[in-house]
Amino acid sequence: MAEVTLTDIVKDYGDVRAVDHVSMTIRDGEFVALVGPSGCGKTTLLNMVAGLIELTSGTIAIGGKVVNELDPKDRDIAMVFQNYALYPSKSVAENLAFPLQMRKLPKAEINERVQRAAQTLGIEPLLQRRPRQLSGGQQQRVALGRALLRDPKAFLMDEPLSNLDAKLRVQMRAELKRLHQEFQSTVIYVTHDQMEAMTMADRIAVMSGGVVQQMGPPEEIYEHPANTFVAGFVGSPAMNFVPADVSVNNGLVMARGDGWELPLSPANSARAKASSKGELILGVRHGHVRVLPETAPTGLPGRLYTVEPTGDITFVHAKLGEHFLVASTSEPFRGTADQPVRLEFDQDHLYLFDRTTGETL
Amino acid sequence: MTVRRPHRATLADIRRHRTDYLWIAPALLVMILVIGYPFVYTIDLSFYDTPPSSPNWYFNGVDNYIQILSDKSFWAITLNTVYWAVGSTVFAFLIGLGAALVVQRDFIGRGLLRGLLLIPYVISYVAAALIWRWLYHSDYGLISGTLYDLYLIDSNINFLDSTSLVMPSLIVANVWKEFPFAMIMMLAGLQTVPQQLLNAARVDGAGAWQRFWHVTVPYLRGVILITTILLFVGNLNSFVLVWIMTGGGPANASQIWITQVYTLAFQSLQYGRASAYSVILFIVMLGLGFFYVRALTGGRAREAR
Amino acid sequence: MTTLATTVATTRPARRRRVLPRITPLDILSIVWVIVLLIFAVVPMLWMLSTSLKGQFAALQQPPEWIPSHPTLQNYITLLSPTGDVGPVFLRYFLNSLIVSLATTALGVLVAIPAAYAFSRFRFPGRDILFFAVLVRNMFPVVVFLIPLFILMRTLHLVNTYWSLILTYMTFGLPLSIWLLKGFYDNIPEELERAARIDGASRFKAFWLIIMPLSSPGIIATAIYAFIGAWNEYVYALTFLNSESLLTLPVGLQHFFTEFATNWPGLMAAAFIMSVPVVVLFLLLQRHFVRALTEGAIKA
Repeated sequence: MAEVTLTDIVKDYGDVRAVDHVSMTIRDGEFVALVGPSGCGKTTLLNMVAGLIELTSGTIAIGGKVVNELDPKDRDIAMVFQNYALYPSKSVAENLAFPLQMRKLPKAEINERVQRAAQTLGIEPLLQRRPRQLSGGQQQRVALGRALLRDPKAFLMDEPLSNLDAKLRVQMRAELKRLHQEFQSTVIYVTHDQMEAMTMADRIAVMSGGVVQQMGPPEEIYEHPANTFVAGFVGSPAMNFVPADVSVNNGLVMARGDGWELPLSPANSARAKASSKGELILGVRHGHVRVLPETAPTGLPGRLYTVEPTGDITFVHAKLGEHFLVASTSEPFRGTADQPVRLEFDQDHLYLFDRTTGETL
Repeated sequence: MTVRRPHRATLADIRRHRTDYLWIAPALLVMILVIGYPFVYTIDLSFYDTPPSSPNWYFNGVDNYIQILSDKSFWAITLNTVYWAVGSTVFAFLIGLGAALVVQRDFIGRGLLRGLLLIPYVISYVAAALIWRWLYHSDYGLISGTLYDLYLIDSNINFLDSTSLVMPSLIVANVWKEFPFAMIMMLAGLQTVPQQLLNAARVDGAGAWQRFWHVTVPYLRGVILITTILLFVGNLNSFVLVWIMTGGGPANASQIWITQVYTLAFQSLQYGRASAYSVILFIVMLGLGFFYVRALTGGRAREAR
Repeated sequence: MTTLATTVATTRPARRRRVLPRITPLDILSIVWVIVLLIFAVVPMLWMLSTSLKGQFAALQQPPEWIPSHPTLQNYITLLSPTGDVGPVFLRYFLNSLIVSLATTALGVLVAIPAAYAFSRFRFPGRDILFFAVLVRNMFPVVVFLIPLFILMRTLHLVNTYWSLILTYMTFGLPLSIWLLKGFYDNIPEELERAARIDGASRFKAFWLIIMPLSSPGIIATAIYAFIGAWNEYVYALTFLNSESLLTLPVGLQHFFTEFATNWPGLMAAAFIMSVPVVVLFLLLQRHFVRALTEGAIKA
């Protein structure tokens, strides 16, 4: 296993810049997830690391060696694809053996390695079957096996679980994580599903528009997002955003919105003052919003929109002025549509973003 | 496609769907008239002796067949036909495949190139036969003349009048006419190969040729099969080119089944014998097609179980 | 650590590297191959054109002249002028071909469309067998049917008429047309017709107003294929037509050949004129044709 270093990677398609000066280091044995919406450049980046696409500029180094000029097969990497990409005319055993055949290993060794990999993944009984005779989960395991067999310096995975049904996905997620821990492999994992990234990765790189918005361990991405994009991307339901303006009243710093005013805590006040032009976006996650009856002494005036009980948690949707918010509570909640309520934000978990730049203050 | 349960058609079913048949009635009628009837008629006629001199036709059982099969020239013609059909098919396919591989990549002028390569396919066989006859002309032909200019030969070559050169010459002309068809078929097929599969092979260490052999070719088995069958059957059927370029000569050196049938029927006026010949031809083509298809998909049918 | 991770490349200093596309031996091979292919495909046609622009004497030159030194349009004028002995005959051939091809195309498409639609949408007994029979038609040697068809046409008194050809030509195109169109219809979701029928249209109306417009690429491709097939056909025209005034271009061309066997420039000019409509038609609608041929075939 080895370290993968990306330096100032740029990829242009004509006038369109798909990857815009991305740099990062994936440490030996680390599991890094590249997350972002479709079109953010994560798959393009992965394909460049693999050598399937040429870079416009930048350097890629695997295990300390610059690999820009090398073919995929010479980079000593393995790749797992979304559609498994198993060779349909070959049996499972032949699929597993193929990369070893390409490296011209002796037949006896190939057979031995294939057997061992099949054992590890529990797919021995499937060795003589064709891919089309296997279920999605089995195919995915074979794809994994093929990657494992290459004994590569790094694993590149392109949304490998997206084609599986929900239940299988959860199962495979756990298996992948276990395999990673067992083999201490370097993994670069691309996904659009932020939950997958959160549960599996050592570090997450959130991408949008070809740029890495933020990179760090999952907790950090969740608790300390760098900008509104990251804050809104991670976590489900998404963080609530409400625009507000800073106003100072007798030394008291307030966030003012459409028909409401929120006095800010000292910590938040300091942050608010750092905003350019005094324009803010307030961010707060559903768990830190409380919906109180109209008669409550604190909170901002709002209207109830709808209530979604899901068993353990109840999601309460409300409107603050023209903006929709989601709150959650583990206690049973009852209300009628358009009922006036009061919305309270937990100021210790209130995020302030500069409305112009989107960055966290 | 929905799964269809095997279902015995009953009279009630036919009655229920009777308006459906209206839609296919015109097509069906024409086909029955122009194909079904002649087919049956040919088989019938093959059992008759039809001497050109008399208006009467005499039933003579399988005599026609025996005569044909015991005639030595039949086997020579058969050999020629195999030479013709196999040679044309193989080269038309390979060149078509090569052309498809080039045209599949996106580059400026690709549409124009493809259009130009398709022209031989579109013009009539008669025009093609005349053009190539002119090219092969022993005294003033371009091919002979150019080779002479390049000092590769020292006297004119007689392509179409030489018993040894006539078949290869005809095959070249035929391949010229046919390869665009193979090109189009393979082009379409090549575009169905999933990019991810090729990417996986690249990562696994396969070079360009290995990717082609291990991924592309197996994936395209179906299309290759259809293309070669269509080419082969088409070649067995291919009458005009040979007929206009050589008429079967010189000395029957380029006589193939189909030109022989025509000669028998419309020059010797031996309708009965020609019909018998046609039936033999048809049986062979059907048999070949059947075995060919079985051979190439038999393996697949077995593993699907 | 909330900012973008910075990087330190371990062995080499970080620098901008412009990646140049490499020219592999495979690329060179491809270019050579393309040139060979082009020469193979195009030179015969160019030579035909070149010959057609030469006078009788110039054509019979050794060594052969690539570009005519005294190009002349005389051959074309002779063929196309309504006066003289060659012109009217040739123009007559052209007209016959046009009539037969257009009629074949129109009727063929008219017959194929409902049949293809039925095969695509309806499930009636015998559907698969009939469809297979339609496909198998291509397996039959062309010449096999000449004899009985000739006798049939004779009985129907259709020998030496346009109809003998139109009817037979229709059957050449039908199997492929039905196959192509069926493929197109298969691709149009049935929900569209169901929605139309719920909205009150009869089955036929739904077909006519909704499906037909959507399948126009398939219809165009089928029409082109039928036209080209009819225009170029030789054997049946040769067998069924006797009188000079009815001959179509392919047979007419062959007649010219036997009559003016040494007038190669004239023959090449005639071949050129005969090829023009088809090639032009084809180049213009190339994309449709290719798409239809492959979409239908690949679905098999």
